[in-house]
Amino acid sequence: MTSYTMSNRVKPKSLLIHAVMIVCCILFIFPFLWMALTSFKTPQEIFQWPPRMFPKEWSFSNYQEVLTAVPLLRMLLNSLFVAVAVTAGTLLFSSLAAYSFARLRFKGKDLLFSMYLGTMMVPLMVTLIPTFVIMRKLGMVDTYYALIVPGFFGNAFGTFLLRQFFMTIPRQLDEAARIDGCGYFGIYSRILMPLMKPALASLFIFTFMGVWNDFLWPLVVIQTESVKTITLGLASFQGLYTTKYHLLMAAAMISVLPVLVAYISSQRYFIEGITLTGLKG
Amino acid sequence: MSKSKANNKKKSMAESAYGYLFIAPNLLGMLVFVIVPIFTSLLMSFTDWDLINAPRWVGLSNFTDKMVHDQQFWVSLKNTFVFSLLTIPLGIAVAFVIALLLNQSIKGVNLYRAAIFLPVGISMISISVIWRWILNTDLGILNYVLSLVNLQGAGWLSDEKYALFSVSAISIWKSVGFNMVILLAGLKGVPSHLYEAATIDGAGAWRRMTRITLPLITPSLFFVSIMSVIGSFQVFDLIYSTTSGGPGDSTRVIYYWVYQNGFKFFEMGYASALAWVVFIMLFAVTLLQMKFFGNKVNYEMD
Repeated sequence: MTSYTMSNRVKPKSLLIHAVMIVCCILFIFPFLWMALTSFKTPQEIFQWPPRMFPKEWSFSNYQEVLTAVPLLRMLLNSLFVAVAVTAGTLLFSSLAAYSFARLRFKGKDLLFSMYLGTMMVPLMVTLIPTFVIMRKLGMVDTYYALIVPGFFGNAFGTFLLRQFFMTIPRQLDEAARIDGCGYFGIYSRILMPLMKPALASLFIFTFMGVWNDFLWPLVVIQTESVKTITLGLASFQGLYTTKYHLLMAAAMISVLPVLVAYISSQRYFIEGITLTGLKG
Repeated sequence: MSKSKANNKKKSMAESAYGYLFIAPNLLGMLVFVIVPIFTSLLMSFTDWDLINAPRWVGLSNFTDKMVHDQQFWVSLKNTFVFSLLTIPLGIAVAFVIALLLNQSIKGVNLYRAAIFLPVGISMISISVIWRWILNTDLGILNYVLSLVNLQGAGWLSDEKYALFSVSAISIWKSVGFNMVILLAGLKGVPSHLYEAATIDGAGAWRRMTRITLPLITPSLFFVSIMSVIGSFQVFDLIYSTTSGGPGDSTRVIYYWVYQNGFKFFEMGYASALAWVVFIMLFAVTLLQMKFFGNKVNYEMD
């Protein structure tokens, strides 16, 4: 009843809210739209003043030129490969460690766990140089290994996050499974992991996005074009074609489009995944 | 009796063994790529090392001598603080207002939320490339729009006066969506009967805001402010791909200066010293935030 009368009363107010929100949306969407439109324009149209909203003729020649200059599609595949590998490793190893922290008793557990928490505060810049030196010693610089290995074994944040979720599952489930003759690994893989799906999905999105968008680490360890990830590839493309905005926008389109498609098809999971990760983390 | 005791002992030994086994790969990764690097970095900060020759122990001189006299260090520190002071309060305030609006019962909330969240998922490099074009001095669409309303455009990224403000604006634009969804989740957690009760007691909108909403979403605000501080102290991709620290020194931030020292000048020792100073400052600010929010954090009630 109350909500009915309220929604009647706030009609003009909700109109105002819609107006504000539509302006907001334009502000957040227009840059991407402008990128898309520019990517189909000719160099002459770029220099035209006043600028035209839509290209006179939609041409794909910018894309052709970009793709022959820099192997951006290869770089997209590199990003995909690296992100899938790191995310798979993180989900497996962080969930195993998280299960251990949440359920099993062993000496030094509390100490180890506080060490994990402590490292979460250390900025990447502190570990960057020594990690680079280690990768050099291992001879992995400028290879896929450099991009995958440091993140492959999971991280403190992922372990911490999943531990929090394991803690919310009642222990009676473990005990019942034990009585039925289930071992520790069986409890982890057959009883608890199926219940962890929402948490795992959140960590999946969080980790995948983090690796896909990572820039500083690839910048430091990769020089070879064919090993570069898409973010690094786009940055070096920008270094070469600083002011050729028609080409830059086509390159940016290629880097943004896969993410955009994934986002539009599953934005609810994106947002809920990030929110869940944020609230528990 | 003794048999079951032995059994128990065996069981707990098996449990420990599995405990270590399950943790082992994760712990190994942590040791090699986090713990060892942290301590190595601390040691390196007391050396002079160019990656080629053997590191030379120089004691505290990276801190007491080199850093103190490093003009660029102080400038980048100042720029980092200005950037933080511009982006953190504004980024949270804008996100909070949007979250409040989206918490009303209106149609299309999911659509609005999705649009505003969009930049969060896109890489900073792509976003920088796009904004460089929009903010371009001669051909940028922003200066064109300004000219339509008879305003003088500017070299948003190429003028020392504006560059730091422009990168701050881009940063806010990218992070508003993240702050907004966290704050919106916080707002959704405030039980509506509290508002109803307060309204019946004659509390106005302002009192409801300061007495109910703000206290109850302090955990979300706390989280968002911690994340904002961490993000703004470590801004790098944005600077690298828009201004490279210029024009002049106007957008050189501390993280960029660490990167340059390490991977452009190959001053590994000094770069490590700088990184540790950033770490200590970040730690101090985080402690301050915990103190500030500590006695104000209220947890959800049922």
